[in-house]
Amino acid sequence: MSKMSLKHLAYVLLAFFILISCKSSSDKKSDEFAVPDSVANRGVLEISDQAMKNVTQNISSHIETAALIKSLNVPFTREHLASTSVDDYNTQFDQALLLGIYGADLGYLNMYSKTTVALDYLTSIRKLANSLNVGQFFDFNTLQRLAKNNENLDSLMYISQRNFNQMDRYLRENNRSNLSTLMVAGGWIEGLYLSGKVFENRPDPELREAIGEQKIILGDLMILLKNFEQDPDFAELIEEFERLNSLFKEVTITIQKGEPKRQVIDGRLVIEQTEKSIVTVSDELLDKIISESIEVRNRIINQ
Amino acid sequence: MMKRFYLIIILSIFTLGFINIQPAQAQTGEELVNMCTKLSEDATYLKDFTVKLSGAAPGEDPPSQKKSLMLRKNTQYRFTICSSRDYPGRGVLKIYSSSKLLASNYVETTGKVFPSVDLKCQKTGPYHIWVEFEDGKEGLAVVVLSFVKKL
Repeated sequence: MSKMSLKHLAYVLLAFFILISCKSSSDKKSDEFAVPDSVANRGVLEISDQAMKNVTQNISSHIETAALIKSLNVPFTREHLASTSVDDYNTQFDQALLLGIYGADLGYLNMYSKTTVALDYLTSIRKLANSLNVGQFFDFNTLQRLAKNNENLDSLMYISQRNFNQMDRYLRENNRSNLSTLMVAGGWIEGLYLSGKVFENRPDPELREAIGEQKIILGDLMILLKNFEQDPDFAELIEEFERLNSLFKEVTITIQKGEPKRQVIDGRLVIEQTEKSIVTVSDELLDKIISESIEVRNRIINQ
Repeated sequence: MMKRFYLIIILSIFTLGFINIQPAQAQTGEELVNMCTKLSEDATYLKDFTVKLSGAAPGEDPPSQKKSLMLRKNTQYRFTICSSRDYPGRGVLKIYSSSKLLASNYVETTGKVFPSVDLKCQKTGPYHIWVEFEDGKEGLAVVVLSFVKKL
């Protein structure tokens, strides 16, 4: 073989090895983002990975709360929602709490299809998510486009809910479960606050029960929060929530037993649960719970 | 002649390289979530979780995975399960309340596996979702929890 042929062959082989060593990855996710040591280490506290995996999910459920409020034909009220100003929230602790609060507000806005107002919240959520290094999960551009054009509101709700779940999952899986817990806590208190404000003007029995049964949910939330009680900021937050918890302890929840009924309706399996939870809460206690939830939420918002 | 030869070689290498760079056509978790959410039809997406389990060894109980979810009274939920076509196992989900089996997408008496189960929830509290794969086969599945309506 001539020198020229060998040279050509060498170039060809070089090209070949370059090409086969290239890897295209469409999954350019998150792990490349640097997390400051102070944040990374703060998340690694008492709770084990396995315990976190077993934690009950769907604690702060924005959609169910918003759907209940809307089902009562209560008109939309912007004044119930948190301000979208985020500049005063400089610590990741406060940012995560506020992100949870905005998640609840966004659920409320989406349920009422208030896309113009939602735009402000999307902007603030993006800022907070970026500060917490989870901005890569928030598809701001798509959400903004959907909100601006008032189109495909189902997609708007789906993407925003999904993005929040992805942020939460990422935090839990990357030793930042403290921030995930704060998001959950923020979302929960905002949901309770919204329910309480609506109840003040519309004392509906179903809403009353929905507020009372937060006793069950708060129980799980306190377990999550107490995993981080060594942290002074968490300790202070736990104290706030404990005041609410002590009120909720007076709520009575009884279970009426029953066997589930199974039906196939339009080809779909439908299970009707006949076992029921019955919530009993006095007017006085409910007023105290609502007042306290408003105070706790406002203290968080106003820092 | 030699130039033509090298041209063919180079073109072949680029073609092979291009094929190599293309992402594998396996069904990803993301695709499954999107597919499952579409199957939920008019329900509103709430949460999703992915289950991947290896196959059970002979004589071994099929592996399973659990998730706990808080569900609310007076709410109709939909649980949709989508199994990846890249694995042999077909997902079976079971919903427990207070350690009691409340619902499953698999009907033992008929052997039918429903892609989704609606639950008309009347008791607020934690529910435990167990997922395994039929016959203990290896599988990858996504479960999507959706909100159907207030009851």
